[in-house]
Amino acid sequence: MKHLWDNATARRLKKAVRKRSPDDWKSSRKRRRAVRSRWTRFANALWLALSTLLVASMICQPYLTDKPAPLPPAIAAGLTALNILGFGILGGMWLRNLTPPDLSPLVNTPAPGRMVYLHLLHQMRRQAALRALGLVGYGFVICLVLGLHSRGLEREVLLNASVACLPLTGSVLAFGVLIEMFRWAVPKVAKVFYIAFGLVLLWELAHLMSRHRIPFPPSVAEVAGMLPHSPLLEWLATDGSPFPTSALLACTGAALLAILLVTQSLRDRQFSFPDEPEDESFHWGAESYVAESFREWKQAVWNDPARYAEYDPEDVDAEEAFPSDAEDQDAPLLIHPSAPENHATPVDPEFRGAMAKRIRALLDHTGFECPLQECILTKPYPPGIMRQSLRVSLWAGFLLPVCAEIASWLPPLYATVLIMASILLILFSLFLMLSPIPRPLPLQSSRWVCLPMDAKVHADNFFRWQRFLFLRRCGVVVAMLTVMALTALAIIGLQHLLALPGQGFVTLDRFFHGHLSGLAICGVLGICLLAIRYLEALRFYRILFEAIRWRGLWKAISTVSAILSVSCGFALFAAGLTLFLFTLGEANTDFHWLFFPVWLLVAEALHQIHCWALLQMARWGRSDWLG
Amino acid sequence: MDLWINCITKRFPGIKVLEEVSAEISAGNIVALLGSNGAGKTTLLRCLATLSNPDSGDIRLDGEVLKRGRIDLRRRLMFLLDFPTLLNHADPLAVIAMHLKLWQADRPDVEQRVADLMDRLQIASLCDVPVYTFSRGQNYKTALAALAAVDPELWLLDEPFASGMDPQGIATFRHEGEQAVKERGRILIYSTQMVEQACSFSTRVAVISRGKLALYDTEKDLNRDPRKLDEMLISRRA
Repeated sequence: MKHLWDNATARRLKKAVRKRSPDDWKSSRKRRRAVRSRWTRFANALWLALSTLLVASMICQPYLTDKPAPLPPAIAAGLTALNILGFGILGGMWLRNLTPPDLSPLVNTPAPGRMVYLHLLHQMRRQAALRALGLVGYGFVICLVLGLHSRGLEREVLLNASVACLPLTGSVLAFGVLIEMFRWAVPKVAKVFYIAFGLVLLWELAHLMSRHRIPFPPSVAEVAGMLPHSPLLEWLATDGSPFPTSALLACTGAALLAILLVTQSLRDRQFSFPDEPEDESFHWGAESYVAESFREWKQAVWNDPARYAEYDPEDVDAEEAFPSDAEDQDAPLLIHPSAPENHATPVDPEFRGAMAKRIRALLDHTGFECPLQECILTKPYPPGIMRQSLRVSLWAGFLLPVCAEIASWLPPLYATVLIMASILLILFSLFLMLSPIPRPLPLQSSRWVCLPMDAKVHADNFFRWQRFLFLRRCGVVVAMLTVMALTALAIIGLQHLLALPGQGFVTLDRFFHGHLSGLAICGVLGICLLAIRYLEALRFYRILFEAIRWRGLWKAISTVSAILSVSCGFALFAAGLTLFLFTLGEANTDFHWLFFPVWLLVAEALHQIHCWALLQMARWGRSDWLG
Repeated sequence: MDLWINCITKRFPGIKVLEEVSAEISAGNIVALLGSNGAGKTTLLRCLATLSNPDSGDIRLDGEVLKRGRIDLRRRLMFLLDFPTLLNHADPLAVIAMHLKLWQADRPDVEQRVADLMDRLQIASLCDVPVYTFSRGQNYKTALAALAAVDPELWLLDEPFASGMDPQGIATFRHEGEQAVKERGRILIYSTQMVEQACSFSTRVAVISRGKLALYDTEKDLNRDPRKLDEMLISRRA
């Protein structure tokens, strides 16, 4: 960057300013030190180092500890590959997190093309070199620390650690550079990574289910007793190992959480991170969003003669607070959809006030349709998705008993695969059911708190849509249950007709009193419904976390802790209730049909209580939330 | 220096922003561009700064056609955007040093001038602080200091009175602009929405309405019929 100006000139200017106004110079130096020594940079670096440590500990542990790898080689290699992939994604994202060299300040200057080109090259090389060196350094230090920790300080250990870490960091760097070259692929690679990791976990679960018979009704203690048999958990727990993986993971997780809270709090106190990308500033985002809605609305009005005739000319005065259509066409606007990219400062408070007044007036306005109302409130889900969800659920209802029956006749390996496929099918249909959750745009994009709207309007609307869609989802679940029962009965009928020995999974006895009974299926689906509602609540969490700028560090920590406690309490309560209902159902086998509506009611009630508690926490955390 | 704007026309998709705008501005003039939002003021300034190319017509500086490729001509003008884009991680003095180098305006006494400007604009206490920490007004002041230090022959400013600068900054701008025009024969063209400011700080007022130059008058002419300007702006807006 320095070649854009002469250092001698800069020095001369500094000297002149220092001579001319020494007090200002001193205060400038002081302020610069404050900017430079901002410890948020340190927190950021620490955050990155710890997260790197978390991943690296998983990668390096089998190589650097004396303990023989407890996993079979194939799985260990797969997990290591996955971890390298994950670490590579981390490194690659770190590399690509660089802001590209900003040339916009040179556009409006008579800078010759060669100078611009040199500036660009210099910036790119400098950034890339720094990041690459940093990445290698992190990996090297982490591996050394792990090596020293596990074996003590010896020359041989140092050499071994270096030898172990070099290919690792090298491969990670190579992968990072590869990702950097194919930026478009990053989200896809990340998805593949998470899906692969999810599949490994599912494999574990299916493996357990095929090897151990799941008791009925399920007992938490017995299921928990089976878990240590999982090689993955064994690997993580490393019982008797000198390397405390689980403790390290726990401490790292706690440290990461603490740093996250601290750094977020610092950000909320208007310390900006130097390398933090300019997000859609809350003010800008909201206002440009509103501006866009207004433009659409106005265009619709002016293009429709009938509407124009109905238009009340008294509203023209109120319109003056907003930009005209002609204004919106031009780039240098006070508010413009691309404003966050072009401008970096918030809009005039007076303008905000005028906008607030106008929005309230519009939302109270009944005679004239304004799409803003629809946009601010819930956006309807895509129309075909519920139909698709119903179709998949019906297929799942048909395939699940069939898979269960086939799995019981197959060797363990194929049975495992089949069980895994069934679980994936259930998950897929549940995700499809989950997808048409109402998506209020400002709620989703965290802009809504900046809109001068009463949060109650949002909340009421949100819950109204949720209830409506929940009922529709219940209909889908009932349909799935019916198909499942009919398929099971058909299989049993076929078994009787063909005089097959009753060794399969689907039997008449199980249909009435076992795994296929109404109670069991209702229970499983009830748990699924609870999970859906829980996930919905988590979406609400995300909104709260994103949308609310917490006041003060301790208030932030206490509020977040309170919210997490509420969530944990909800989860525990739901689990307890599930067990209670199972026990109750076991005792009253004649009233199985009652349990499905009971599950629905319980799931709905729990969800409402959960969200209500969250809202209260949020209100407590930010007292001016409701304006 | 003389500036000729010859029948320039500029279109954006679906809209004609400038329509055959012609004007002649000689050295020692301050021209205030007035007009409603979207009238074409900023587009005209961008064309003058070679940030946009007119679809037809041309702009000449002392008879030579002004184009983006003519670095020598572009060094004779500087455009201050309403939101100046500066090198974020540089400090204001580095930004000014960069402008001095790019405009080849590094004169022997320039440091005294810069120190004076920094002091008067009240940004001397920020001279060692990265620009990314600045407010909009401070950003604009930094860019204004660079403009005044470079002192090109043609000063172009977009909405300097609505730039977020404090009264001290605006007073400094007026003082520096007047000095540059009266003592050194520069041309200063700026856009504004404030009619009073435009009348009090200009030798000529140009009103652009729907892309056309509707009025190009001196202050005396305007004073003869003060309602003329109001009627033009208000009637066009309605």
